[in-house]
Formats: sequence, structure tokens, C-alpha cells
Amino acid sequence: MPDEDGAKRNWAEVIGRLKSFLERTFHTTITEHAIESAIRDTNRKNTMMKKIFDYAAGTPSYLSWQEMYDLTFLAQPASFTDIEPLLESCIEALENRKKNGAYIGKEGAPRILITGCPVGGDATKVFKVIEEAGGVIVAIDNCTGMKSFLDTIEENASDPIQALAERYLKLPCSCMSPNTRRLEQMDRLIELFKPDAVVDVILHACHGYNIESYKVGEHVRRRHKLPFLKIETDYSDGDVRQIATRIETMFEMM
Amino acid sequence: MPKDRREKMEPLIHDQFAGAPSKRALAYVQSKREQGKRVVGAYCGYAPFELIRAMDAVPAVLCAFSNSTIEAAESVLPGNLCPLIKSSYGYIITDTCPFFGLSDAVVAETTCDGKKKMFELIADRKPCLSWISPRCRMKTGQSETGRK
Repeated sequence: MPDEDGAKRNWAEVIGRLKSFLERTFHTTITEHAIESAIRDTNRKNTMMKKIFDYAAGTPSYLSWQEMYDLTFLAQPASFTDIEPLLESCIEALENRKKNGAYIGKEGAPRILITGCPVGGDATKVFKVIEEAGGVIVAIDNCTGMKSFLDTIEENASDPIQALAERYLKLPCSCMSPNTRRLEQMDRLIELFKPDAVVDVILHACHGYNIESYKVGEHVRRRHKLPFLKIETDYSDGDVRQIATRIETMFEMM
Repeated sequence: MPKDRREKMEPLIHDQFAGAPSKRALAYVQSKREQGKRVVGAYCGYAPFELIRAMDAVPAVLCAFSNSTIEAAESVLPGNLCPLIKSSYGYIITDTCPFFGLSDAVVAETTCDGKKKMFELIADRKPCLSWISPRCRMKTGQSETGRK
């Protein structure tokens, strides 16, 4: 990328301004040492979250979408120090499932990778429809899913603000132009989670994700030879039956 | 028909918040608040939570996912806006997002025009608000990916 360094510098400056804003507002000083500790905390947490996601990567999957959603919901606000005991107990429980042969969904159920807009609360109707149609969601590549936990931040960098800038600039959000990393991340997730189809959830009037959906769809169909379904929806329940028909049809054709 | 194997399964998390992840997160943020920690709300994954934790505050993800607050939002916002923005705004004007209520400051992102302009409408609700988010990976914003 010709001017990637410029973008990093700009974004580091914005993060620096946010730091000043927080310091001013709360009459405090945020030291480099404290930022470095917070970076380490995030990295430890992300490592364990990825270990948990790995249980969905297995065939069959041992982790349900509800459990993934529960954990990502709490792991966003919680520090690693606070959430570590819970994550440890989850890994133990998942390991037990594996040993006892308890898994999610029925044998041979179609594995689905979700991508697109943030999907939470009432929008999880799409997940429920997929599940009711017999599918198993194995990866949620959305902001409400795995996205915040997949990268690590450079530790012991000479400037921790710059390290933060580099990490956040890597987020494959459709607001980025160009958003080449979205497809790179898709490649990695498909390789790891071995989905049988990709479902792109687009919230009404989200032009960024909606337009980018074309690129993602072409990439998934051509490069990975996988079925791709774009679902444009909102938070109402009026289209649940229609979404179910589309999902069921896709499953039948697979 | 083969049975779903899940009925054999122990739940992963043993607490009183089964099926209510937002209540679990709220209990966490509230417990931190009770310990005297400050709370900084955010909606977006671009908000660097490490900075918030570095000043010993707690980040809180603000409400944005309910259909129930959209009607209130549509009294101000256009109907053909994305549900996430309408829901977020509806929560704020109806004072029903407990995370927003607990927040001492809000970090607002400018990932799209809808959010950017919606945040202008709520800027007076909390004493502090900041504007962030990258839009382009290149400083000039001029993409050269099309010409090879």
C-alpha cells in the first residue's frame, strides 16, 4: 500500500487526541507503562478467546453461537484479569464435551460462517433461523463476534500509541477503503473453521457492507467454491419466514 | 430423526444470566462502578479500550440492538436509516440504555455518515464526547488499487 505509513501516523495522532481527551475529562494522566499493561491484558485475553473459538473450528463443533455470543459480549468490557477464571472454566468444559462426544447440532450439519454488519439482540433472528434449519454457526466474523479478538497488539513497542494505531487500523471494517484485509481474513477463517457456506448479514441502509458484499460474495464463490448468501434485514421480525425460506433453499442445494 | 446432542451438554457459563448476555455485561460494569471505577461508553470496535483500561476505567459497550427503541428514534431520524443507528439513538432519547446511564464519557466513532450525524444529536447528553475512526488506509484517500 503506497501510503499505509501515512494512515498509521494519522490514526496514531487520533488515538493520541483521544488520550488527551480522556486525561482532560478525568483529570488524570495515562502513562505509557499503563498502556503497555493494558496491551498485554488484551493480548492474553485474545489468546484465550481464540483458544475457545478453536472448539468451534473442530468437526463437529463443540461451541454454540449463543455461547460464542455470550463470551464475546462479556469479554469486550471485561479485563483479562477479571475474565480469566471464567475463560479457564469454559476451556475445561469444552474439553470435557470433546472427551464425552457431546457436540453442537446434528451429525453432518452444514457449517456456516457469518460475516457482515454487527449482529446482536434482535438481529440474531438470522442465527436462530440458521439453527432451526439445521445449520451450525461455526464462526462469526462480525464486530459482535470474533473480530475484536483475532489480532494481537505489538508489545514493548517504542511507542505503545503507535502499536495501538497499527492494531486498530487492521480491523477489516467496511468503512475502510480499500478493505483488502476483509478478504484476507475471510481466507484465514475459511481455512480454520471449514464452513460449508458463508452468510453475509447486512443491516438495511448500511451502504458500506452492502456494496462490499458483492466483492466478498465473488471471492467466496470463486476462490473457495462455497455457497454465499447475502441477507439484508433489520431488527423487526417481519422477514423471519422469508429468511428461513432462503436459508432452507441454500441448505437443500448444498 | 437423530436428536440434537446438545441436551447432554452442561452450560458453559453457570450463572443467573443464561440467555441474557447484556445483563451479564451490565452486572460486570455495575460491579466495577461500585468499586469506584469510572465508565467510558463506546459503540464501536475502533474504540481503543486499552486507553480506557490504562486510566483504570471500565469500557462499556452501549445498547444498539433492539427493535423496541426504533419507533421513538423515528420521531427524529429518517426511517430509511440503518436499524443499528436508529436503535442506539432510540435507547438514548428514551433513557433506556443502562450502560449509557453509567457512562461518564462516550467515545463516538465516525465510521459512517449516519453515525457521525446521529452523534451530533446526542452530544449534549453527556459532558464529554470525542470523535474518532479511520476511514481510509491511505492518507490521501486516493485508491490506486484500480490501476495496475
